[in-house]
Amino acid sequence: MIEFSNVSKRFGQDEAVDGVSLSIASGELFVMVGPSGSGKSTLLRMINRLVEPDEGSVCIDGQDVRNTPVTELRRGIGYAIQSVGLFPHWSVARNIGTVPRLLGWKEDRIASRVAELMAMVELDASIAKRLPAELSGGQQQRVGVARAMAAQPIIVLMDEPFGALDPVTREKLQHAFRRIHADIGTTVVFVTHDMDEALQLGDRIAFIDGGHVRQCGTPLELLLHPADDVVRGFVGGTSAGLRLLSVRKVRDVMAPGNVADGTPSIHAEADLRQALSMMVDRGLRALRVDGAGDQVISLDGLLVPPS
Amino acid sequence: MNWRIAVPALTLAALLLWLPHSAPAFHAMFPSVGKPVYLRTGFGQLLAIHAGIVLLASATAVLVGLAVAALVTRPFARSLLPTANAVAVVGQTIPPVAVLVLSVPLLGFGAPPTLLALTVYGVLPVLGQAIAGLRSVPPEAIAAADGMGYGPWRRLKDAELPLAVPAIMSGVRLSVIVAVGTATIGSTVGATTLGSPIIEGLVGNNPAYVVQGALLVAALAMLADGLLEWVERRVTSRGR
Repeated sequence: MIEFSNVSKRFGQDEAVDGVSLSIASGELFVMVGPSGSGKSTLLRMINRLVEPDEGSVCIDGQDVRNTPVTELRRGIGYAIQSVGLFPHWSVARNIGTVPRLLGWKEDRIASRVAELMAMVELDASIAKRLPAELSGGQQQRVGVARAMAAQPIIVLMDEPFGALDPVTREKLQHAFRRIHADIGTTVVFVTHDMDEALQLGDRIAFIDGGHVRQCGTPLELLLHPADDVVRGFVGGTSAGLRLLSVRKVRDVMAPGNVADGTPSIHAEADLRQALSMMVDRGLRALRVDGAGDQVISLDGLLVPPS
Repeated sequence: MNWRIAVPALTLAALLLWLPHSAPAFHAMFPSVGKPVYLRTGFGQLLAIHAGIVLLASATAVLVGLAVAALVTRPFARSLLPTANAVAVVGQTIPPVAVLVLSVPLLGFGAPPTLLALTVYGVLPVLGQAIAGLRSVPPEAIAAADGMGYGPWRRLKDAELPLAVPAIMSGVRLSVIVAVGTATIGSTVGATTLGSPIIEGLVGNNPAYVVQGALLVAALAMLADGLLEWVERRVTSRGR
Protein backbone atom coordinates (compact mmCIF):
# COMPACT_ATOMS: atom_id res chain seq x y z
CA MET A 1 0.00 0.00 0.00
CA ILE A 2 1.19 3.51 -0.85
CA GLU A 3 0.07 6.29 1.42
CA PHE A 4 0.43 10.03 0.87
CA SER A 5 -0.17 11.91 4.12
CA ASN A 6 -0.80 15.60 3.72
CA VAL A 7 2.09 16.17 1.27
CA SER A 8 2.94 19.59 -0.13
CA LYS A 9 5.62 20.74 -2.55
CA ARG A 10 6.47 24.20 -3.74
CA PHE A 11 8.69 25.04 -6.71
CA GLY A 12 9.67 28.65 -6.11
CA GLN A 13 6.42 30.57 -5.67
CA ASP A 14 4.23 27.88 -7.23
CA GLU A 15 2.36 25.42 -5.10
CA ALA A 16 2.79 22.23 -7.15
CA VAL A 17 1.16 19.95 -4.62
CA ASP A 18 -0.90 21.28 -1.74
CA GLY A 19 -1.80 19.07 1.20
CA VAL A 20 -2.59 15.87 -0.68
CA SER A 21 -3.61 12.70 1.11
CA LEU A 22 -4.21 9.55 -0.91
CA SER A 23 -3.94 5.87 -0.37
CA ILE A 24 -3.29 3.34 -3.09
CA ALA A 25 -4.05 -0.32 -2.43
CA SER A 26 -1.67 -3.15 -3.24
CA GLY A 27 -2.24 -4.64 -6.67
CA GLU A 28 -4.31 -1.70 -7.78
CA LEU A 29 -3.96 0.05 -11.13
CA PHE A 30 -4.29 3.58 -9.85
CA VAL A 31 -4.51 6.46 -12.31
CA MET A 32 -3.77 10.08 -11.53
CA VAL A 33 -5.38 12.23 -14.17
CA GLY A 34 -5.49 15.98 -14.59
CA PRO A 35 -4.47 18.86 -16.82
CA SER A 36 -0.80 19.76 -17.48
CA GLY A 37 0.85 21.32 -14.46
CA SER A 38 -1.73 19.93 -12.06
CA GLY A 39 0.93 18.31 -9.87
CA LYS A 40 0.21 14.70 -10.83
CA SER A 41 3.75 13.92 -12.02
CA THR A 42 5.17 15.62 -8.94
CA LEU A 43 3.07 13.33 -6.77
CA LEU A 44 4.23 10.29 -8.74
CA ARG A 45 7.88 11.25 -8.37
CA MET A 46 7.53 11.54 -4.64
CA ILE A 47 7.02 7.79 -4.49
CA ASN A 48 10.55 7.06 -5.75
CA ARG A 49 11.98 10.24 -4.25
CA LEU A 50 12.83 11.97 -7.51
CA VAL A 51 10.96 14.76 -5.73
CA GLU A 52 11.06 15.20 -1.97
CA PRO A 53 7.94 16.72 -0.38
CA ASP A 54 8.35 19.96 1.61
CA GLU A 55 5.73 18.77 4.06
CA GLY A 56 4.02 15.50 4.81
CA SER A 57 5.20 11.99 4.11
CA VAL A 58 4.92 9.15 1.61
CA CYS A 59 4.84 5.61 2.99
CA ILE A 60 5.08 2.27 1.24
CA ASP A 61 3.64 -0.56 3.33
CA GLY A 62 3.90 1.62 6.41
CA GLN A 63 7.57 2.51 5.80
CA ASP A 64 8.40 6.16 5.13
CA VAL A 65 10.22 6.22 1.77
CA ARG A 66 12.87 8.44 3.38
CA ASN A 67 13.92 5.52 5.56
CA THR A 68 15.13 3.46 2.61
CA PRO A 69 18.42 4.38 0.88
CA VAL A 70 17.42 6.13 -2.32
CA THR A 71 19.11 3.81 -4.84
CA GLU A 72 17.74 0.72 -3.10
CA LEU A 73 14.25 2.22 -3.04
CA ARG A 74 14.37 3.07 -6.74
CA ARG A 75 15.67 -0.32 -7.80
CA GLY A 76 12.61 -1.85 -6.16
CA ILE A 77 10.21 0.43 -8.04
CA GLY A 78 9.69 0.20 -11.79
CA TYR A 79 9.68 3.51 -13.63
CA ALA A 80 8.54 4.29 -17.17
CA ILE A 81 8.26 7.77 -18.66
CA GLN A 82 6.73 9.31 -21.74
CA SER A 83 9.97 10.00 -23.54
CA VAL A 84 10.88 6.41 -22.68
CA GLY A 85 14.41 7.39 -21.70
CA LEU A 86 15.92 4.27 -23.22
CA PHE A 87 19.69 4.38 -23.32
CA PRO A 88 20.38 5.07 -27.00
CA HIS A 89 23.78 3.33 -26.87
CA TRP A 90 22.41 0.04 -25.53
CA SER A 91 20.55 -2.73 -27.33
CA VAL A 92 16.92 -3.55 -26.53
CA ALA A 93 17.98 -6.55 -24.44
CA ARG A 94 20.57 -4.58 -22.50
CA ASN A 95 18.07 -1.78 -21.85
CA ILE A 96 15.47 -4.18 -20.51
CA GLY A 97 18.05 -5.83 -18.27
CA THR A 98 19.23 -2.53 -16.75
CA VAL A 99 17.80 -2.88 -13.25
CA PRO A 100 18.49 -6.61 -12.86
CA ARG A 101 22.09 -5.81 -13.82
CA LEU A 102 22.19 -3.03 -11.20
CA LEU A 103 20.91 -5.55 -8.70
CA GLY A 104 23.72 -7.91 -9.61
CA TRP A 105 21.73 -10.73 -11.17
CA LYS A 106 23.71 -13.43 -13.00
CA GLU A 107 23.91 -12.99 -16.78
CA ASP A 108 21.92 -16.14 -17.63
CA ARG A 109 19.14 -15.15 -15.24
CA ILE A 110 19.02 -11.69 -16.83
CA ALA A 111 18.92 -13.22 -20.32
CA SER A 112 16.00 -15.50 -19.51
CA ARG A 113 14.12 -12.69 -17.75
CA VAL A 114 14.63 -10.42 -20.76
CA ALA A 115 13.28 -13.11 -23.11
CA GLU A 116 10.27 -13.59 -20.84
CA LEU A 117 9.56 -9.84 -20.72
CA MET A 118 9.88 -9.40 -24.47
CA ALA A 119 7.28 -12.14 -24.94
CA MET A 120 5.07 -10.48 -22.32
CA VAL A 121 5.04 -7.10 -24.06
CA GLU A 122 4.74 -8.82 -27.45
CA LEU A 123 8.09 -7.84 -28.87
CA ASP A 124 9.68 -10.14 -31.41
CA ALA A 125 12.80 -11.82 -30.03
CA SER A 126 14.63 -10.93 -33.25
CA ILE A 127 14.85 -7.25 -32.26
CA ALA A 128 16.75 -7.96 -29.03
CA LYS A 129 20.06 -6.82 -30.53
CA ARG A 130 18.70 -3.63 -32.12
CA LEU A 131 19.35 -0.14 -30.82
CA PRO A 132 16.38 1.97 -29.66
CA ALA A 133 16.71 4.32 -32.64
CA GLU A 134 15.99 1.38 -34.94
CA LEU A 135 12.57 0.75 -33.37
CA SER A 136 9.15 2.31 -33.95
CA GLY A 137 7.64 4.52 -31.24
CA GLY A 138 5.29 1.75 -30.14
CA GLN A 139 8.14 -0.76 -29.89
CA GLN A 140 10.22 1.70 -27.84
CA GLN A 141 7.31 2.17 -25.44
CA ARG A 142 6.99 -1.61 -25.08
CA VAL A 143 10.69 -1.81 -24.28
CA GLY A 144 10.14 0.96 -21.70
CA VAL A 145 7.31 -0.98 -20.08
CA ALA A 146 9.34 -4.21 -20.10
CA ARG A 147 12.30 -2.39 -18.53
CA ALA A 148 10.10 -0.99 -15.77
CA MET A 149 8.86 -4.51 -14.98
CA ALA A 150 12.23 -6.21 -15.29
CA ALA A 151 13.22 -6.77 -11.68
CA GLN A 152 9.72 -7.83 -10.61
CA PRO A 153 9.10 -4.61 -8.69
CA ILE A 154 6.25 -4.47 -6.20
CA ILE A 155 5.34 -1.03 -7.53
CA VAL A 156 5.52 0.34 -11.07
CA LEU A 157 5.30 4.08 -11.74
CA MET A 158 4.29 5.19 -15.21
CA ASP A 159 4.39 8.83 -16.26
CA GLU A 160 2.33 9.26 -19.45
CA PRO A 161 4.01 6.20 -20.93
CA PHE A 162 1.76 6.13 -23.99
CA GLY A 163 1.45 9.90 -24.42
CA ALA A 164 3.53 10.28 -27.57
CA LEU A 165 1.92 7.47 -29.56
CA ASP A 166 -0.66 7.55 -32.34
CA PRO A 167 -4.19 6.58 -31.19
CA VAL A 168 -4.17 3.10 -32.73
CA THR A 169 -0.83 2.10 -31.23
CA ARG A 170 -1.82 3.65 -27.92
CA GLU A 171 -5.01 1.64 -27.73
CA LYS A 172 -3.12 -1.57 -28.51
CA LEU A 173 -0.62 -0.86 -25.76
CA GLN A 174 -3.35 0.05 -23.28
CA HIS A 175 -5.02 -3.30 -23.89
CA ALA A 176 -1.71 -5.14 -23.63
CA PHE A 177 -0.93 -3.28 -20.45
CA ARG A 178 -4.28 -4.06 -18.82
CA ARG A 179 -3.74 -7.73 -19.59
CA ILE A 180 -0.19 -7.64 -18.20
CA HIS A 181 -1.39 -5.93 -15.05
CA ALA A 182 -4.17 -8.49 -14.58
CA ASP A 183 -1.59 -11.27 -14.97
CA ILE A 184 1.08 -10.08 -12.57
CA GLY A 185 -0.93 -8.01 -10.11
CA THR A 186 1.77 -5.42 -9.39
CA THR A 187 0.68 -2.11 -7.90
CA VAL A 188 0.75 0.41 -10.74
CA VAL A 189 0.54 4.17 -10.38
CA PHE A 190 -0.20 5.66 -13.77
CA VAL A 191 -0.16 9.35 -14.67
CA THR A 192 -2.00 10.69 -17.71
CA HIS A 193 -3.77 13.81 -18.90
CA ASP A 194 -6.07 11.75 -21.13
CA MET A 195 -9.40 11.11 -19.41
CA ASP A 196 -10.32 8.30 -21.79
CA GLU A 197 -7.06 6.53 -21.01
CA ALA A 198 -7.72 6.98 -17.29
CA LEU A 199 -11.22 5.55 -17.56
CA GLN A 200 -10.01 2.72 -19.75
CA LEU A 201 -7.18 1.60 -17.49
CA GLY A 202 -7.88 2.64 -13.94
CA ASP A 203 -9.25 0.49 -11.15
CA ARG A 204 -9.48 3.80 -9.36
CA ILE A 205 -8.81 7.33 -10.55
CA ALA A 206 -7.66 10.41 -8.67
CA PHE A 207 -8.57 13.61 -10.45
CA ILE A 208 -5.80 16.11 -9.67
CA ASP A 209 -6.09 19.82 -10.36
CA GLY A 210 -4.10 22.77 -9.05
CA GLY A 211 -2.16 20.57 -6.65
CA HIS A 212 -5.31 19.17 -5.03
CA VAL A 213 -7.18 15.90 -5.35
CA ARG A 214 -10.60 16.97 -6.50
CA GLN A 215 -12.05 13.51 -6.55
CA CYS A 216 -10.87 9.96 -6.06
CA GLY A 217 -12.98 6.95 -7.02
CA THR A 218 -13.75 4.25 -9.55
CA PRO A 219 -14.28 5.27 -13.17
CA LEU A 220 -18.02 4.73 -12.72
CA GLU A 221 -18.14 6.96 -9.64
CA LEU A 222 -16.37 9.77 -11.46
CA LEU A 223 -18.73 9.48 -14.41
CA LEU A 224 -21.94 9.20 -12.42
CA HIS A 225 -21.18 11.48 -9.52
CA PRO A 226 -18.55 14.05 -10.45
CA ALA A 227 -17.59 15.93 -7.28
CA ASP A 228 -17.70 19.39 -8.84
CA ASP A 229 -17.96 21.31 -12.08
CA VAL A 230 -14.27 20.96 -12.91
CA VAL A 231 -14.45 17.17 -12.77
CA ARG A 232 -17.77 17.25 -14.59
CA GLY A 233 -16.16 19.35 -17.30
CA PHE A 234 -13.44 16.74 -17.75
CA VAL A 235 -15.48 13.55 -17.64
CA GLY A 236 -18.60 14.98 -19.22
CA GLY A 237 -19.11 16.76 -22.50
CA THR A 238 -20.55 15.29 -25.63
CA SER A 239 -18.99 11.86 -25.15
CA ALA A 240 -20.13 11.37 -21.53
CA GLY A 241 -22.63 8.68 -22.53
CA LEU A 242 -20.07 6.79 -24.58
CA ARG A 243 -17.56 6.95 -21.72
CA LEU A 244 -20.15 5.51 -19.41
CA LEU A 245 -20.61 2.63 -21.84
CA SER A 246 -16.85 2.12 -22.12
CA VAL A 247 -16.35 1.51 -18.38
CA ARG A 248 -19.11 -1.10 -18.09
CA LYS A 249 -18.94 -4.69 -19.23
CA VAL A 250 -21.39 -6.78 -21.22
CA ARG A 251 -21.47 -9.12 -18.21
CA ASP A 252 -23.01 -6.36 -16.06
CA VAL A 253 -26.15 -5.84 -18.15
CA MET A 254 -26.72 -9.06 -20.10
CA ALA A 255 -30.07 -10.71 -19.57
CA PRO A 256 -31.85 -13.88 -20.70
CA GLY A 257 -33.57 -13.42 -24.03
CA ASN A 258 -34.16 -14.80 -27.47
CA VAL A 259 -32.37 -13.85 -30.66
CA ALA A 260 -32.60 -15.29 -34.15
CA ASP A 261 -30.27 -18.16 -35.04
CA GLY A 262 -27.00 -16.99 -36.51
CA THR A 263 -26.95 -13.72 -34.56
CA PRO A 264 -23.33 -12.66 -33.98
CA SER A 265 -22.00 -12.88 -30.44
CA ILE A 266 -19.79 -10.72 -28.23
CA HIS A 267 -17.52 -11.62 -25.31
CA ALA A 268 -18.94 -11.10 -21.80
CA GLU A 269 -15.82 -9.13 -20.81
CA ALA A 270 -16.15 -6.72 -23.74
CA ASP A 271 -17.26 -3.21 -22.80
CA LEU A 272 -20.67 -1.81 -23.67
CA ARG A 273 -19.21 0.67 -26.10
CA GLN A 274 -17.88 -2.21 -28.19
CA ALA A 275 -21.32 -3.84 -27.96
CA LEU A 276 -23.04 -0.67 -29.17
CA SER A 277 -20.53 -0.31 -31.96
CA MET A 278 -21.16 -3.88 -33.08
CA MET A 279 -24.93 -3.40 -33.03
CA VAL A 280 -24.71 -0.24 -35.13
CA ASP A 281 -22.23 -1.88 -37.47
CA ARG A 282 -24.40 -4.97 -38.07
CA GLY A 283 -27.76 -3.18 -37.85
CA LEU A 284 -28.96 -5.34 -34.92
CA ARG A 285 -30.91 -4.55 -31.75
CA ALA A 286 -29.47 -7.46 -29.80
CA LEU A 287 -26.37 -9.68 -29.71
CA ARG A 288 -25.71 -13.14 -28.33
CA VAL A 289 -23.20 -13.31 -25.45
CA ASP A 290 -20.30 -15.72 -25.97
CA GLY A 291 -20.55 -18.93 -23.94
CA ALA A 292 -23.30 -17.59 -21.67
CA GLY A 293 -26.24 -19.84 -22.62
CA ASP A 294 -29.36 -17.84 -23.48
CA GLN A 295 -27.90 -14.51 -22.29
CA VAL A 296 -28.18 -11.65 -24.75
CA ILE A 297 -27.28 -7.98 -24.78
CA SER A 298 -29.83 -5.60 -26.26
CA LEU A 299 -30.05 -1.91 -27.07
CA ASP A 300 -32.45 -1.50 -24.16
CA GLY A 301 -29.93 -3.26 -21.95
CA LEU A 302 -27.44 -0.47 -22.67
CA LEU A 303 -29.84 1.99 -21.08
CA VAL A 304 -30.14 0.06 -17.82
CA PRO A 305 -28.71 2.44 -15.19
CA PRO A 306 -25.60 1.20 -13.38
CA SER A 307 -26.37 -0.17 -9.94
CA MET B 1 41.33 -3.77 -44.14
CA ASN B 2 41.29 -0.27 -42.74
CA TRP B 3 42.88 2.01 -45.33
CA ARG B 4 42.98 5.01 -43.02
CA ILE B 5 45.39 3.06 -40.82
CA ALA B 6 47.16 0.92 -43.42
CA VAL B 7 48.11 3.67 -45.87
CA PRO B 8 49.82 6.03 -43.37
CA ALA B 9 51.40 3.06 -41.55
CA LEU B 10 52.90 1.71 -44.77
CA THR B 11 53.98 5.20 -45.82
CA LEU B 12 55.69 5.66 -42.47
CA ALA B 13 57.48 2.31 -42.77
CA ALA B 14 58.54 3.03 -46.34
CA LEU B 15 59.91 6.45 -45.35
CA LEU B 16 61.91 4.93 -42.47
CA LEU B 17 63.43 2.36 -44.82
CA TRP B 18 64.05 4.71 -47.70
CA LEU B 19 65.20 7.97 -46.07
CA PRO B 20 68.66 6.68 -44.95
CA HIS B 21 69.30 5.81 -48.61
CA SER B 22 67.71 8.90 -50.09
CA ALA B 23 70.86 11.02 -50.48
CA PRO B 24 70.90 10.82 -54.33
CA ALA B 25 67.24 11.83 -54.59
CA PHE B 26 67.56 14.80 -52.21
CA HIS B 27 70.88 15.80 -53.84
CA ALA B 28 69.05 15.94 -57.17
CA MET B 29 66.23 18.02 -55.65
CA PHE B 30 68.46 20.44 -53.72
CA PRO B 31 71.90 20.43 -55.48
CA SER B 32 73.21 23.33 -53.39
CA VAL B 33 72.89 21.37 -50.10
CA GLY B 34 76.10 19.78 -48.85
CA LYS B 35 74.62 17.04 -46.63
CA PRO B 36 71.30 16.01 -48.20
CA VAL B 37 70.19 13.57 -45.44
CA TYR B 38 69.74 14.25 -41.72
CA LEU B 39 72.12 11.94 -39.84
CA ARG B 40 72.53 13.38 -36.32
CA THR B 41 69.88 11.00 -34.93
CA GLY B 42 68.30 8.03 -36.69
CA PHE B 43 64.83 8.67 -38.14
CA GLY B 44 63.48 5.60 -36.31
CA GLN B 45 64.72 6.97 -33.01
CA LEU B 46 63.29 10.44 -33.73
CA LEU B 47 59.93 8.88 -34.54
CA ALA B 48 59.94 6.76 -31.38
CA ILE B 49 60.72 9.71 -29.10
CA HIS B 50 58.21 11.92 -30.89
CA ALA B 51 55.45 9.33 -30.63
CA GLY B 52 56.35 8.62 -26.99
CA ILE B 53 56.10 12.29 -25.99
CA VAL B 54 52.77 12.63 -27.79
CA LEU B 55 51.41 9.44 -26.24
CA LEU B 56 52.38 10.37 -22.71
CA ALA B 57 51.16 13.96 -23.02
CA SER B 58 47.90 13.00 -24.71
CA ALA B 59 47.08 10.22 -22.27
CA THR B 60 47.56 12.63 -19.37
CA ALA B 61 45.60 15.33 -21.16
CA VAL B 62 42.66 13.03 -21.86
CA LEU B 63 42.51 11.83 -18.25
CA VAL B 64 42.74 15.35 -16.83
CA GLY B 65 40.27 16.76 -19.37
CA LEU B 66 37.70 14.04 -18.71
CA ALA B 67 38.08 14.28 -14.95
CA VAL B 68 37.64 18.06 -14.93
CA ALA B 69 34.71 17.89 -17.37
CA ALA B 70 33.00 15.22 -15.28
CA LEU B 71 33.57 17.28 -12.14
CA VAL B 72 32.23 20.59 -13.40
CA THR B 73 29.09 18.96 -14.81
CA ARG B 74 28.15 17.54 -11.38
CA PRO B 75 25.43 19.53 -9.61
CA PHE B 76 27.61 20.42 -6.61
CA ALA B 77 30.35 21.90 -8.83
CA ARG B 78 28.12 23.63 -11.35
CA SER B 79 29.48 27.01 -10.29
CA LEU B 80 32.84 26.08 -11.84
CA LEU B 81 31.32 25.26 -15.21
CA PRO B 82 31.52 28.74 -16.80
CA THR B 83 35.16 29.08 -15.75
CA ALA B 84 36.08 25.65 -17.13
CA ASN B 85 34.30 26.45 -20.37
CA ALA B 86 36.06 29.79 -20.68
CA VAL B 87 39.45 28.20 -20.03
CA ALA B 88 38.80 25.57 -22.69
CA VAL B 89 37.70 28.10 -25.29
CA VAL B 90 40.06 30.98 -24.58
CA GLY B 91 42.99 28.65 -23.88
CA GLN B 92 42.83 27.28 -27.40
CA THR B 93 43.32 30.76 -28.84
CA ILE B 94 46.76 30.94 -27.22
CA PRO B 95 49.30 29.50 -29.67
CA PRO B 96 51.07 26.34 -28.44
CA VAL B 97 54.44 28.07 -28.87
CA ALA B 98 53.52 30.51 -26.11
CA VAL B 99 52.76 27.67 -23.74
CA LEU B 100 56.05 26.06 -24.70
CA VAL B 101 58.04 29.24 -24.07
CA LEU B 102 56.34 29.76 -20.71
CA SER B 103 57.22 26.27 -19.52
CA VAL B 104 60.96 26.65 -20.21
CA PRO B 105 61.63 28.84 -17.16
CA LEU B 106 59.87 26.21 -15.05
CA LEU B 107 61.51 23.09 -16.40
CA GLY B 108 64.57 24.18 -18.36
CA PHE B 109 65.35 22.96 -21.87
CA GLY B 110 64.73 19.55 -23.41
CA ALA B 111 61.82 17.11 -23.33
CA PRO B 112 60.18 18.11 -19.98
CA PRO B 113 58.91 21.57 -21.05
CA THR B 114 57.66 20.06 -24.31
CA LEU B 115 55.80 17.37 -22.39
CA LEU B 116 54.25 19.96 -20.05
CA ALA B 117 53.22 22.27 -22.89
CA LEU B 118 51.69 19.43 -24.89
CA THR B 119 49.78 18.16 -21.87
CA VAL B 120 48.41 21.56 -20.86
CA TYR B 121 47.51 22.46 -24.42
CA GLY B 122 46.08 18.98 -25.08
CA VAL B 123 43.70 19.18 -22.12
CA LEU B 124 41.79 22.09 -23.68
CA PRO B 125 40.03 20.45 -26.64
CA VAL B 126 39.25 17.34 -24.57
CA LEU B 127 37.84 19.49 -21.79
CA GLY B 128 35.75 21.66 -24.11
CA GLN B 129 34.33 18.74 -26.07
CA ALA B 130 33.72 16.58 -23.00
CA ILE B 131 31.79 19.38 -21.30
CA ALA B 132 29.72 19.90 -24.44
CA GLY B 133 29.13 16.16 -24.74
CA LEU B 134 28.15 15.65 -21.11
CA ARG B 135 25.79 18.60 -21.21
CA SER B 136 24.08 17.30 -24.36
CA VAL B 137 23.17 13.95 -22.79
CA PRO B 138 19.37 13.71 -23.19
CA PRO B 139 17.73 14.70 -19.88
CA GLU B 140 15.31 11.77 -20.29
CA ALA B 141 18.20 9.33 -20.18
CA ILE B 142 19.39 10.93 -16.96
CA ALA B 143 15.88 10.97 -15.47
CA ALA B 144 15.43 7.31 -16.40
CA ALA B 145 18.82 6.41 -14.90
CA ASP B 146 17.97 8.23 -11.67
CA GLY B 147 14.52 6.71 -11.55
CA MET B 148 15.91 3.20 -11.93
CA GLY B 149 18.28 3.64 -9.02
CA TYR B 150 21.63 4.52 -10.54
CA GLY B 151 24.09 6.06 -8.13
CA PRO B 152 25.90 9.19 -9.35
CA TRP B 153 29.12 7.35 -10.24
CA ARG B 154 27.40 4.51 -12.03
CA ARG B 155 25.22 6.95 -13.93
CA LEU B 156 28.30 8.81 -15.13
CA LYS B 157 30.08 5.61 -16.15
CA ASP B 158 27.16 3.73 -17.74
CA ALA B 159 25.01 6.49 -19.17
CA GLU B 160 26.59 9.92 -19.39
CA LEU B 161 30.12 9.16 -20.59
CA PRO B 162 29.03 6.60 -23.22
CA LEU B 163 26.46 9.07 -24.55
CA ALA B 164 29.09 11.80 -24.67
CA VAL B 165 31.63 9.58 -26.45
CA PRO B 166 31.20 11.01 -29.96
CA ALA B 167 31.91 14.53 -28.70
CA ILE B 168 34.70 13.38 -26.39
CA MET B 169 36.40 11.44 -29.17
CA SER B 170 36.36 14.43 -31.51
CA GLY B 171 38.12 16.35 -28.74
CA VAL B 172 40.63 13.56 -28.26
CA ARG B 173 41.36 13.37 -31.98
CA LEU B 174 41.89 17.10 -32.20
CA SER B 175 44.08 17.02 -29.10
CA VAL B 176 46.31 14.23 -30.40
CA ILE B 177 46.67 15.65 -33.90
CA VAL B 178 47.62 19.05 -32.49
CA ALA B 179 50.10 17.32 -30.16
CA VAL B 180 51.75 15.49 -33.08
CA GLY B 181 52.27 18.82 -34.79
CA THR B 182 53.21 20.79 -31.69
CA ALA B 183 55.79 18.25 -30.50
CA THR B 184 57.72 19.34 -33.59
CA ILE B 185 58.13 22.82 -32.14
CA GLY B 186 59.52 21.18 -29.00
CA SER B 187 62.80 20.96 -30.83
CA THR B 188 63.18 24.74 -30.56
CA VAL B 189 63.64 24.25 -26.81
CA GLY B 190 65.96 21.31 -27.18
CA ALA B 191 63.67 18.27 -27.24
CA THR B 192 64.75 15.62 -29.73
CA THR B 193 61.72 14.96 -31.94
CA LEU B 194 60.81 14.77 -35.61
CA GLY B 195 61.01 18.55 -35.37
CA SER B 196 64.78 18.36 -34.96
CA PRO B 197 65.58 17.97 -38.70
CA ILE B 198 62.96 20.62 -39.50
CA ILE B 199 64.36 23.20 -37.07
CA GLU B 200 67.93 22.42 -38.00
CA GLY B 201 67.03 22.64 -41.66
CA LEU B 202 65.36 26.01 -41.18
CA VAL B 203 68.26 27.39 -39.17
CA GLY B 204 70.98 25.91 -41.39
CA ASN B 205 69.23 26.75 -44.66
CA ASN B 206 68.83 23.06 -45.57
CA PRO B 207 65.43 22.45 -47.19
CA ALA B 208 66.14 18.69 -47.54
CA TYR B 209 66.08 18.26 -43.74
CA VAL B 210 62.82 20.19 -43.54
CA VAL B 211 61.18 17.96 -46.14
CA GLN B 212 62.41 14.78 -44.43
CA GLY B 213 61.04 15.82 -41.02
CA ALA B 214 57.80 17.13 -42.47
CA LEU B 215 57.09 13.93 -44.41
CA LEU B 216 57.46 11.83 -41.26
CA VAL B 217 55.35 14.15 -39.10
CA ALA B 218 52.59 14.25 -41.70
CA ALA B 219 52.52 10.45 -41.99
CA LEU B 220 52.49 10.12 -38.21
CA ALA B 221 49.60 12.58 -37.87
CA MET B 222 47.54 10.70 -40.44
CA LEU B 223 48.29 7.40 -38.73
CA ALA B 224 47.22 8.83 -35.36
CA ASP B 225 43.99 10.12 -36.89
CA GLY B 226 43.25 6.76 -38.52
CA LEU B 227 43.89 4.88 -35.29
CA LEU B 228 41.69 7.22 -33.27
CA GLU B 229 38.90 6.96 -35.79
CA TRP B 230 39.06 3.20 -35.38
CA VAL B 231 39.01 3.52 -31.59
CA GLU B 232 36.03 5.87 -31.83
CA ARG B 233 34.05 3.37 -33.86
CA ARG B 234 34.92 0.56 -31.47
CA VAL B 235 33.87 2.56 -28.43
CA THR B 236 30.57 3.80 -29.88
CA SER B 237 29.42 0.39 -31.07
CA ARG B 238 30.01 -1.22 -27.69
CA GLY B 239 27.01 -2.34 -25.69
CA ARG B 240 25.05 -3.80 -28.58
